[in-house]
Amino acid sequence: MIDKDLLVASMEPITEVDRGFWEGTRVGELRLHASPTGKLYFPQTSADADTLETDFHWQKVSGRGTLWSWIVMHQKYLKAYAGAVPYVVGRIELEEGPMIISRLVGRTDDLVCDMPVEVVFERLDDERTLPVFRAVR
Amino acid sequence: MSSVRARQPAIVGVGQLNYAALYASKVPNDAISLGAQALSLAIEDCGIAKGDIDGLITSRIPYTVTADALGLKNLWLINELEGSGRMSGVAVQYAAAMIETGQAEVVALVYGNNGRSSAMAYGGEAFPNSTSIYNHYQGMTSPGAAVAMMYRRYQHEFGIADGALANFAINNRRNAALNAGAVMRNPITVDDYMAARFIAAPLRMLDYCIINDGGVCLIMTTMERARDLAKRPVVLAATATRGETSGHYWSRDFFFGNARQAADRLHRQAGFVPEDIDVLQVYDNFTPAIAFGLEGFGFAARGEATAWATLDQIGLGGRQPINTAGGHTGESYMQGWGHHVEAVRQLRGECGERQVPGANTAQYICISPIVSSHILAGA
Repeated sequence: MIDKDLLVASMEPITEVDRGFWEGTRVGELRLHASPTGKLYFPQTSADADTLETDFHWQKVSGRGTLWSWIVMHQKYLKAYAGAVPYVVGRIELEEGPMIISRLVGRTDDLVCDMPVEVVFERLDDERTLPVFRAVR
Repeated sequence: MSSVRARQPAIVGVGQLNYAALYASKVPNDAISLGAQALSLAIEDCGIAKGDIDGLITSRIPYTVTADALGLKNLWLINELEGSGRMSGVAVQYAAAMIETGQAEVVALVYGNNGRSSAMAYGGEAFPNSTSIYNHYQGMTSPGAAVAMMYRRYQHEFGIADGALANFAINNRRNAALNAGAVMRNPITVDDYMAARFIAAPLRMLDYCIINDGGVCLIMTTMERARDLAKRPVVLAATATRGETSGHYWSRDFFFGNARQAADRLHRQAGFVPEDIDVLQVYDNFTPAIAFGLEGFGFAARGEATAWATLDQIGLGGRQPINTAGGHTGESYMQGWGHHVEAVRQLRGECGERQVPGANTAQYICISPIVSSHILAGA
């Protein structure tokens, strides 16, 4: 089990920079940082890598992607996760392009690279809801 | 190799501590003190007076108080590189450029690491970037887990079975057994490897570097000056680095493309190809880095490094000896600095039982978000 209280307590305060992300997950939307040209980033970034523009907005994405790879974490590095080992974390390539690191929930004994995955939302408290992913079979 | 230039950089002094003794000791160590001891050993090794040092590059220890503690003043070159392993190769390249262009004559590169004393875990530490911070929320942390993520993908792309990394771990321990200063000197078998607990699967404990204390110093100067010193000069025949960084420790092609670019540049500079290299020192924070390095730098074909790396091939007496001092999983985790020392000592013929007979060329390879490599040669 993940210790949700410890996890929330370990989080950096929400700032103007990432507020849009957390506002999205609270209402069940995965929102990514979008530059004026529409290029998407996750997590939020400091400048558009092509144009160097720094004016970002938040854009809802599908929450669908494919599993690039995954690990099974056995080591208790993080206090909030110490009671959850072993747990599975994947690198997911979103349909819209960016990569996102996410815990994988649901069945994980038959994972293969490139299998489709989709976002689900895990509520931690009133302010924080964490997007996690599950395999689509 | 093309003819040696007068100001071509050479590594003339090496110093490193006895890692086994430090590991056995329960006394906490100060990182700058460890660096100071290594400097003292390197000075003794080459016979250059401390007062002749006019350049200092530190890594993992702050240049400010380190220079003061070491009594190095009025330097023509002074700077610090962050304490990540990718910086050892960068530091050598930096010193080389400053020497060759006449900015400095004698540069000490000083590294101190008290990771064990300070209870470093190499996981769970928050790095101040949004990627690292967010990944922690998802339970993702540690460079080992990042490499494990790449290695799983590599297994998928090239059809590599579980256990294929065992030879790298076994070879390191075999070599460490012949190194009195190595921390992990007990040999291991394939069964030991497979039975080791997972840290971040697919990687096991025996794929991971040691966490220990130590210090390393390299002293570099011009070939012109190196010829007047007691030991055989080791010339930096070629060096290249190539960066591909982000908030992740990650590359879609396992840094292959950049390694290949760096390899081409190295081979153009030095005139050496892989077949010419007598001793290989490959950065091995985690064993997949060896596989990525062997492929990126042309020693093994793409996807074939683990099959290529039989113990007969990579062991002492093999066609391509690798990590002859025991590497990061056998000797000591000095973030690539120890690999440089071993390369120099092999080219001088100082390695005793683990000496590769007649070694005249050595290559250092580091696969990481800054790929780096040098070719060193006896001169």
